[in-house]
Amino acid sequence: MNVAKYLLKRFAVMVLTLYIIATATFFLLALTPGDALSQRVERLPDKVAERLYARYGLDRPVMERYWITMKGLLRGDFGESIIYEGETVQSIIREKGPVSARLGIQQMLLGVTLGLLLGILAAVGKGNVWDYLVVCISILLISVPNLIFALLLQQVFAGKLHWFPVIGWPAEGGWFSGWEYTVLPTLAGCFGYIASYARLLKAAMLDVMGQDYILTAESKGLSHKEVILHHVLRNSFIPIITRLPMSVAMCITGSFFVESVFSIPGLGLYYVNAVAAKDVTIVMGETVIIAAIYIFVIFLTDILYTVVDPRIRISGGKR
Amino acid sequence: MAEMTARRISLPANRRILTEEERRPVSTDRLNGEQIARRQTTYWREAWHRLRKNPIAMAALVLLVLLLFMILLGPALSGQDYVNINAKEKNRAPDAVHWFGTDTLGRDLFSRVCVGSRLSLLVALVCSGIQILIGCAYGGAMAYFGGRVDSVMMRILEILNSFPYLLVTLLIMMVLGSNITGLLVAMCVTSWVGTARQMRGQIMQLRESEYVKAANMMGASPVRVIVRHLLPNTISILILDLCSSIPDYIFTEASLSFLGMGLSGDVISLGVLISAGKTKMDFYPWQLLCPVAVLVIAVLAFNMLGDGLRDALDPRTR
Amino acid sequence: MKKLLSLILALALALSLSAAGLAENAEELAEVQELNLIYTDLNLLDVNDIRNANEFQVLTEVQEGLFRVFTDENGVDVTEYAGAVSYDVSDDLLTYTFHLRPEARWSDGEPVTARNYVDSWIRLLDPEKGFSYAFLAYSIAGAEAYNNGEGSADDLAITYIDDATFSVTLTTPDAIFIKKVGMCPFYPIRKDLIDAAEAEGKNWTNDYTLHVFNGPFVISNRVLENSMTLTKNEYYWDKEHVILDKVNLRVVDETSTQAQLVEAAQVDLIQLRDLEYVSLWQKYVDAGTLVYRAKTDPSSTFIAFDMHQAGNGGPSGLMNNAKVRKAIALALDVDEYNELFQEGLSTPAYSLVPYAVSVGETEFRAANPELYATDAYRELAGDAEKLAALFEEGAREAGYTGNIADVVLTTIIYSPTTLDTSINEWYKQQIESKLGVQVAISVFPDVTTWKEARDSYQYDFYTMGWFGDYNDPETFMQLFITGGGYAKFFGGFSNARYDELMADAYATQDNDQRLADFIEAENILLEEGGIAPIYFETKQYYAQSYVKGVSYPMFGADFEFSRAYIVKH
Repeated sequence: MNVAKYLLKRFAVMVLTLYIIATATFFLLALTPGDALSQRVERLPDKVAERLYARYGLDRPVMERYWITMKGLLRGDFGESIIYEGETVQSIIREKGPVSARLGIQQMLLGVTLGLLLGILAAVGKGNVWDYLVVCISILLISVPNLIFALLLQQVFAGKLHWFPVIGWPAEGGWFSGWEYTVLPTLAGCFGYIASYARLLKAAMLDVMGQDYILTAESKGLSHKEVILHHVLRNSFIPIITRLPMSVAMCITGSFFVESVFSIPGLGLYYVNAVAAKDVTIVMGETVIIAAIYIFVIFLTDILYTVVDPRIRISGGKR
Repeated sequence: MAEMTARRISLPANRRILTEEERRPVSTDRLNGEQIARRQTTYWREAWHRLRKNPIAMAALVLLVLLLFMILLGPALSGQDYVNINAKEKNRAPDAVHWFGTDTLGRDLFSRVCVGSRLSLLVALVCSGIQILIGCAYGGAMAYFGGRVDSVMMRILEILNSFPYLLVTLLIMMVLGSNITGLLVAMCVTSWVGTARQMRGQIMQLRESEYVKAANMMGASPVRVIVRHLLPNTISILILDLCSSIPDYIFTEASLSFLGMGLSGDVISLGVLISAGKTKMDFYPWQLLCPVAVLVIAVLAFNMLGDGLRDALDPRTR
Repeated sequence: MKKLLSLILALALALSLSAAGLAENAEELAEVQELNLIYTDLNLLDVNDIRNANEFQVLTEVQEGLFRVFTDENGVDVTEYAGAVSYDVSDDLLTYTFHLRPEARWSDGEPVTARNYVDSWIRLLDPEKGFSYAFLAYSIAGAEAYNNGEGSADDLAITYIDDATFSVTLTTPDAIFIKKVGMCPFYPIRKDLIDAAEAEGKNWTNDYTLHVFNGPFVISNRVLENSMTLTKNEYYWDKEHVILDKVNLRVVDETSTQAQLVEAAQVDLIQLRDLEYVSLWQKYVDAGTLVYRAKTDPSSTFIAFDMHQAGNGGPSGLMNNAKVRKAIALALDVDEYNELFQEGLSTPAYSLVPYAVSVGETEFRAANPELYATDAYRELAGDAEKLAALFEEGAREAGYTGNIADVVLTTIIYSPTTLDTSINEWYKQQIESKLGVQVAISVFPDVTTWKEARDSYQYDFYTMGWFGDYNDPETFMQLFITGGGYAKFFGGFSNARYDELMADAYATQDNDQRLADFIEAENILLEEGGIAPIYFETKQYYAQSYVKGVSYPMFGADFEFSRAYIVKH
C-alpha cells in the first residue's frame, strides 16, 4: 500500500471536514435568533444601534458575512470578540489553553492510572469480590454527575475541613506551583477516566487471556503472575494506547462544570459563556480550533492502530 | 435448524465457540449429557441464564422496576399538589405528608420528582429510539450498498463525529428554543453515529459468515435473510446500545439544565428540578438531593444492567 | 447649589478625617491591607463606554471624575469634590464652569487637565462610537444632534478654558445636570494614549496595561473572566486616605461557593444574590464576625401593560381600559410576592417611585404616600369579587361581549430562569383565581424574538423594572411621557395632564414646584392603572467585621471601598 498516497488522501479529507464544520457552525450561529449586540442596543437610539451593527459587520447579508468569515479563517484571522472588545480567539486560547491543559492532563493522568489499576484487579480476580467491587465502583463513579461531585468535594474538603482552598487556580508558574488549588478540581474530573479505562483494560485483558498463546504459556508452567505481567498486560495495551489520544483531545478543551465550580480560568467555561452570549467570532474560532485538534487526533489514532497492531493494514482504514 | 442456533452463540463475538472450554482441562461435565443438552438451547435463553446469575444485573433490574413503579404511581399515591403555588407550605422538610419535602413555592417535591423523572426517562427513551432507528438504517445502508456509497457515507460519519458535541447541542437548543422538540433534535443529531458504525461492522461480518452465505445459496430471499438472520444477530448490540445511551441522555438533559440551556417554561424534568435545587443546597439540601438521588439511581440501574447484559450477551468476557 | 455642595464637602472631610483618625488610634490596623471581593468581569475598561454595574464598581475605584460619592454613618450619600475643586453656574442656569484640582495626576505622573475632560465628553457623544450613556449628556447644547449624526463636534458647547478650567452650556436648565456629570461616562480620558494604541492596532478597550489611572487604585493584573487585582495608586492626589494596598476581585459563579468563601473569610464584602442567607447568617452577625446592612435600592419593579394605541389593547383587546388594568394590578398580592420571591426582605410596592429618592431635601415617598396602599385601594384589593366586577365593567367598556372566563391575557418572557418561571406562574395563579380569566405565559428563547413580539404588541402585560440613574423622581417619571424614548418598553402610557406636569417639572428649578408636579403625575399614573407595582428592592450586604470604612452609595457602584481598611483580627 502506498503510504504517502494514503496520508495525502487522509489530509485532504481532514481539510474538507474542517471546512464543513466551519460552514455548519457559521450557519447554525447565523440561524440562532438574536446576536451579541441585541441586549446592548436595547436603550440606544436606532441610528447609533445601526452604526454599532455596521462596526461588527453584522448588518451585512449572511452570505457576505460567510465569505468574509471564510476568508478570515484562511488567514487564521477569526476576528475580534464582540463581548470583550479587542480580544481575539488567539489571545484567549493563549491565556486559557494552558490552564485547561494542565487541569485536563492532571485529571487524565490520575484517572487513567487508577482506572488501569482497577482494570487489572478486576481482570485478574475475574468473578470474585474484587471484580464486583471494581464494577460497582466504576459504575457508581460514572452515575453521579460531575457537577455534584465537584460541589460535594468543595463543600467537604474546602468548606468544612479547610484542607484546600475553596476556589482559585495558581497564577503563572511552574507545573507544580500552587498544587493545593488543583487537588479538588483534579479529583472532581478524574472519575470518568477511572470508569472507562478500568472497563476497557478489563475487557482487553480477558480477551488476551482467552488466546492460545497464553494457554501455551500457562501450560509451559509459567506462574500466573508472570503470565499476567509479561504476556497478558503487554498485549492488552493496544486498545488503551489507541484510546489515549482521544482522551488527550477531550481533556485540553476543558470541562465546564469543574471550571465553573472552582472558578478556574479555563477554555471550557469561557467557551460555554461565549456561546450563551452569542459572541460569534469567538465561538467560530474556538470551534474550528477544537475541531482541528479532534480531527488530527482521530487521524493520529488511526496511524497508531497500524503501528501498535500489525494485524491492521493501513488500507483497512477505520476499525 | 438446531445447528444454526448453535452457531449463533458465537456470532456476536465473532470468535470460535470453544475458546473458553479449550482453556479448561477436560472435565466430567463436558461429558455430562445435561450440559450438552443445555448448549442446544438458544442464544437468548443462554444469555438470560447468564444474566440471572449476575447479582449486580438482577439488583439493577429490580431497582428499575421499583423506580418505574414509583414514577408512574407516585403522584397518585402521595396525592399532594405539585402544580399550585402555596406560600404557606414552602420549603418544608421531608415528612409523612411531603415525602421529599416541598419546593420554594410550596409544591410537593416527591410528586414533582416523579413527574420530572417521567419526562426525563421518556426523552431518553425517545432519543435512544431515534438513535437506533437512524443508526440501523444508515449503518444497514452502508453495509448493504458497500463500495463507493459506503465510503462516502463513512466520510459523512467522520465529519459528524468530529463536531464538538456540546457546541452542536447548545446551538441547536438556541435555534429551536428551550422546548422538548429542541431538546430531542439537539441530543439526537450526532448521537446515532456510533450506532451506525457498529451496525455496519456487524452486518458486514455477518454477511461474510458461512450460514448467511449458505442461506443465500439455498435461495432464501434477501428479506428472509435480513429478518431471519441479520436482525436477530444485531439485536444484542442494539440492546447494549440502548442500555448505555439511556443514562447518557438522562445526563445530558440534566447538564443542559445546569448550563441554563435546558428545558424551560413550566416543564418539569429531572434536570430542571436539580438545577433549581442546586441554588438552595445550603438551606434545603433535600431539594437538590432528592432529584439527584433519583437521577443517580436511574442512571446507576441502567449502567449496571448494561454491564450485566454486556457480559451475558458477549460470553467471551465472562 | 455650589454652597450646599461645599458645605457637604466640609462635613464629609471632617467625617472622613475622623474616620481615618479612628483607624490610626482606636483600632489597630492589620498587617495585610488587602480586600477580597467577588465580581463579574468587565466587558471593557473604557469609562465612556460603560454599561454594567460591575464596570461601575471597578472603574469608579481606578478612575475619578469631578465628584466622588461616599456614605455617612447613617448610610446617606455624601458627594465630595474629587477631580473638581468647585464649579460655578451662570445666572440663567445654562452655563457650568468647572474648576479642576491642580494636584490630580494620572498614574504615569501626568497632570489631569481640563483637556482630558473635554476630550472625554466629546468622545462620549461621538456618533461613531454608540456609547450607551451618551444620552446623559443630551442637555448640553449641540449634543443630541451630534450624537444622532446630524450635527458636528464643533457645535458642541463644551469649552476648554485653561488646564484647570472648562465650561459647558446647556440648551435648557437641567436641575440634575450636576448629578449626571459626576458619573463614570463623564470621567476624563487620555486621548493621546487611546490614539497611540489604536494607531498601533492594540486593544486599548480591554488591555489594562495600555491604560493609566487617576483614581485611588490601579489595575495591576487581570485574567479574563476570572480575576483582577487592584493596587494602591501612588500618584493619587488623596492617597493619604487610601489605606488598602491591594484589592483582589474574583469571578465566582455558584452562589453556594460565594457563600462558602464568605463563611471562610476569603471574601470580605458581598451583595447577596440568594436572600435566604440572611437567616442562615444571622448567627455570624450575632457572633460579631459578619456585619449586615440592608440598603434601599433606587429601583422599581412593576408590570407594564400594552397600552399602545397601535396595539389595540393587546391580544385580549382590553388593555386600553384603565379599570381592567387596575383590576389586574390590584389582584396581585404583592405582600405574598415579597414573601415568596424576596424572602420578605424587599418592600412591596404600591406605587412607582421607590423610597429614598428625593427632590432636593425632601424624600419623595414621605411627601406622597403610596396610592395603592391607601385604605380605599386596600379594601378593593382584598375583595376578589369587587375586583372581578371591576374587571368585567372595564371589559364591557372596552366592548368585550363574550364570557369573562374566556378572556385570555398573554404575558411574554424570554430565556426564563427557574425563578422567572415561578414568578410568571404566580401571576397566572393570582390573576386566574381572583379575576376568573385565563393567563397564557408565552416563552421566547431569546431577547430578539421577545422584542419582536413586544414591538408588534403581542402581549397584554409583562414584568419590567427600572434602576434609577440619579437621585430624582424624574429618572422614573420620565418613562411614561407620551411618545418618549422609553414608551416602547413601558407600555406606551399616554396622558395629557401627565405630560404637562412633566414638562413643567423640567422647566423649573424650584424644588417645591417639581415635587408638586411629580406627586400629581405619579397619582395620575396609578389612578389610570398605568403600571402594576410589584416591589422596591432592598439590597442585602454583608461585610466581615474587620473591614471598616466602606461606603455603600445609592447609585453607580455597590461599594465605594477607596477609604476602606482592615483592622487586626
